Amino acid sequence: MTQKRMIDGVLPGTWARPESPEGVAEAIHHAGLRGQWLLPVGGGTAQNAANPVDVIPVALDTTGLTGIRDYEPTDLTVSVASGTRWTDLQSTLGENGQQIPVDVPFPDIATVGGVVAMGYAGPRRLRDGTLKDLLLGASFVRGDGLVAKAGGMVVKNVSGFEIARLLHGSWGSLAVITSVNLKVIPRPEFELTLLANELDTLEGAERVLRLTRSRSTIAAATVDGTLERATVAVRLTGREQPTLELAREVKSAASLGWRDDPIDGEASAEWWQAREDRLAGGDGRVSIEVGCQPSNAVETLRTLRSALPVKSLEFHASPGAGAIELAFDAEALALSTWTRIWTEHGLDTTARFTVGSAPPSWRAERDVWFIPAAQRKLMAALKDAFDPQNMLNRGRLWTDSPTNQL
Amino acid sequence: MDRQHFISELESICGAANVRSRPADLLVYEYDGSVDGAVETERPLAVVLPISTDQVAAVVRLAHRHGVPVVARGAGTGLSGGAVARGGGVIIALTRMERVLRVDPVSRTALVEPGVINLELSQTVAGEQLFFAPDPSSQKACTIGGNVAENSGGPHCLKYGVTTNHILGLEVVLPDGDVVWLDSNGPGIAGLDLAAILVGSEGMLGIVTKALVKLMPSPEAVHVHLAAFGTMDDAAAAVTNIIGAGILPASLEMMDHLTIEAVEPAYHAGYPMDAAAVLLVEVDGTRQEVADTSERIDRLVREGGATSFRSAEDSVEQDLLWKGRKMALAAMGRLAPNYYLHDTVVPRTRLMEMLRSVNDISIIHQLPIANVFHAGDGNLHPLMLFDRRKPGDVERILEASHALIHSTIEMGGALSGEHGIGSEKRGYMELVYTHDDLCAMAGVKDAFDPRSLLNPEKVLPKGYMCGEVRALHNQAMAQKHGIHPM
Repeated sequence: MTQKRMIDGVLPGTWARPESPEGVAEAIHHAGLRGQWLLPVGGGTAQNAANPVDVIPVALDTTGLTGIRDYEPTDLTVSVASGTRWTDLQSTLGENGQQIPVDVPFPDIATVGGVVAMGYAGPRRLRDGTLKDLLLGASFVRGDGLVAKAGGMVVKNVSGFEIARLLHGSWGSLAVITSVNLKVIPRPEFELTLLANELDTLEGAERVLRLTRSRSTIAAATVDGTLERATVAVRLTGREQPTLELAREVKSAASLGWRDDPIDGEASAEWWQAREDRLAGGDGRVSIEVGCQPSNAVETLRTLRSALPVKSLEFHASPGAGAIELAFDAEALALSTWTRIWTEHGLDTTARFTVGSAPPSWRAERDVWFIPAAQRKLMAALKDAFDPQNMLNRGRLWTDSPTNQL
Repeated sequence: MDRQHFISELESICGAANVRSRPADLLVYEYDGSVDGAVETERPLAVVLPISTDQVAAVVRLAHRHGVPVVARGAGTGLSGGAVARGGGVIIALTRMERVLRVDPVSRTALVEPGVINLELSQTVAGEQLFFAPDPSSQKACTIGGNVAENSGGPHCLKYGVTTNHILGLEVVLPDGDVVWLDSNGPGIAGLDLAAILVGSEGMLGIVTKALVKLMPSPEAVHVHLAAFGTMDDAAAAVTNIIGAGILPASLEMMDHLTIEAVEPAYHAGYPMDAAAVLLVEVDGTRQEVADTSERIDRLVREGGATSFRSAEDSVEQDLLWKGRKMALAAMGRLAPNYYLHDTVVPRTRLMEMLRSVNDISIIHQLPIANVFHAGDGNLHPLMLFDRRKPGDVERILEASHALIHSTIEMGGALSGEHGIGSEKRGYMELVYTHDDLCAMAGVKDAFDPRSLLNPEKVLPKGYMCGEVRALHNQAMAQKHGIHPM
C-alpha cells in the first residue's frame, strides 16, 4: 500500500514500495525500461533540502523494508532494515537498556535508512560521534540494480572498502540502502540537562567552548536563541552519582547563572527531542547549517551577526562540534543574497554551509550544493560506477548539477 | 620504458639522495611486517622518499604517464603485505613527511603529515592534555598515513573507536597525480564522504599526504586492573559480563597462559604464572565515574570466578601492567624463533567458542598458539609459534591459518579487524563476500583508479579489477532480465 502524498512539493507519478532488496532492483529495472528515474524516500522528513525538481516519475518508498533483522544485545550490535521507523529501532534497543545516541527530528516518521542516507547528527555528536562512527555494514542496491553488501556485524572490520560509510550522507545518490548494521551503545541510566539564563550569544558560545575543550564527558552543549541573545544548555549522561558530580563541577567551572532546576530523566531526553523537532523548521522557513572549526566558532558568529540583515533569525549551535544552524523566513533572505554575504565577508575561507531545509522556490534559484570542483569530479566518478544511468535522484543532487563555485 | 631513464626522472623530482634503486638498497623494501611465506614479496623498481606533497604528486604523475604501479609505504609495520610492491612498481616511502603542521587545542584537532609516528603525535599534543586515540601495538614505529590506509585499531579502540572515527579530512594525491582535499561528513559539508572511503582502502585509492585528525582530551582519571582466571572460559565469560552490564572500559585485553609464560619472566609485569588467562582492564573518565566503574568491574569478575583481582596503585604500576601486554609479541622469541600473528574478529558472544576453536586448531595442527588480544571487541590475535628452519612448519601454519579463517567466518566474523586484507587474505574475500559485493568494491576502485596503478594485486581477489567487472556485471544483468542492461 502506498500513500498518495507530495514529496518536496511534487506529487510523484507512481509509487513503488518493494519489500525486499530484489524488489528494489526490480523497481529500478522497470523504471529504466520506461526511461524514468526514481526518488528513494523513507519517512520523507528531509526531502526539502536538495535541488528541487518539477517531476518525480517514481517515488521508491523504502518503508516496505522493515524490521530488526538481527539483534544480539550482548554483542552490542543490531542489523535493521532501512525502512524501519527510527523510534521503533530505539524502543527495541531501549527494552534492552541500549540505544543509538543520535536524536533525529520526527523519529516516529523518519526511517533508519533515511537518517543514515542524510548523515543526520544532532548535538550529541560532541561526545558520541555520528551514525558513521556506529555503522558496521550495510546492504544496498546500486543505481544499476546490483544487490550487494559491505562490512559485517562485528565491531572492528578492515576487509575491503568501507562502502557502508560512503553511503552515510550520500543522500541516495549511489544506492538505495536496504539495511544497516549498527553498533549500539548502553543507554545511560541517568541524564540531566543544565540550563543557563539568557546571555549574549557570543559570550555563551565562548563559555561553552571553554567547558567542552577539556572535558570529553559532556554529551552535548548548545547555545540557542538569536544571534544577539541566547541560552546555554548542557546535557550530561551516565551513572547517577558521577553525573551529579559532573553537573556540580560544570556549574562551578562556568558561572553562567544556571537555573536552579535542572531537568532530569525522561524530561531531559524530551527537552532535547523537542529541540530537534523545532530545528526541522516549518512552512516558509529556511534553515542553513554552517560548519567551522570549533576554535573559529565565535569569530564566525561575530561575522554572521554583523553581516546578516535579518535580525530576528533563530539560531542554534553546538560550538564544540563546530555546528551553527540559522533559521529565517524565506522572504527575508534569498539564496543568492545569502551566498553574496557569505563571500563578501570572507566566510567562504573559514567556514562551510549546507542548506538544511527550505521551500522549493527558495532552492530553485541556483544549485544548492556547494561542493569544490575537484571533489565533485570524484563524486561524479563514483556516481558513474554505482549508477551509470543516473537512475537515482536525478537532478536533485551534486552529481549531475552544474559545477557552481561561490 | 627505460628503467635508467625513469630512475633519473625520479631523481630529478626528489633528488638523487632520496631515490633508492640498487638491489641491496631495495632488499628491505621487498618486505613489510608480515610473515614471509604467508605473503608474496617482490622487489620494487625503485623507492623514493619525498618530502612534500608536490614531490609525491610529481612522482605519481610520472608513474601514471609510464603506466608504472605505485605503492605508498609508511613504517612498513603492516602485517598483511599491504606495503609490498606487487607488480614491481615504485614505492613512495612517506617517512620523511613527518611534521605536525598544526595543533588546534580548542577544536581538538591536528593537521599532520603521513609520516608522523603514531605515538609521537600523542606525545606532541600531551602538553595540551590531548591524545590521538588509535594505538596499534606498533605505535612506536607505525605512521599516521599507514594507520589511515589500514584503518588501524589498538587496545583503546574499544571505547574510542578505530582510525576512521578520528579522521576529519585528508589531502590525497590521486592516481593521476591530482591533489585534492577530501572532507569527512560534518557540519556544513555536503556530498559524498570521500574521506570515509579512503580510510581503510589500503593505499588503493589515493596517497594521503596530510591528515586532519581528531584528538581526545586526556581523561581526568585512569585505573588499570588485572584479573586472573583459572580457565579461558571464565575469562571469556567475564568479558561478556562486563560488556553485557553496559560498561565500556577504555580497553579490555586478554592474555592466555602461554602468553603469560613468555611475558612474565621477561618483564615481571606481575601476571600470576599459574593463571589460565588474565584480563587487563583500563577504565578512564572523571574520578567519580572511574571509581564507580572500577567497583562494578571488581564485583563482576569476582562473581564470574576470577581467582584474583588487583588494581595498579600508581602510574608506575599501571605502566608495568601495560608493559606486559605491549611487549607480548617481543617476548614470544622466548618460546619460538618465529611467530605468525593472526587477526580475526567474531561477535563478542562467540568469543568463548572461537577460543575453543583456536585451541582445537592448535592441537590438530600441532602448533603452539598463544592468544593476546582485544577481548572487548571480539578481536582475536592468535599467535602461531613455529620455527622456519624446521621443514614443514611454514606449511603447517598456512594450513592452520586456513582452518582459523574458516572458523571465524562460520561464527559470523570478519577476515580482519585491524591488520587489513593486503595480499595475505585476498584469496579469502570470496568466503565473506558475494560476486556482487566484490563488484561494488571494484566499482569504487574503478572510480578512483581506472588504470589500477595504485597498490595492485591487493584486497580484491584476482578477476575483480575494473573493466572486467563492469563487463561481467552487464552480462549478468542482461541474462537476468533477458535484455541489454540499462
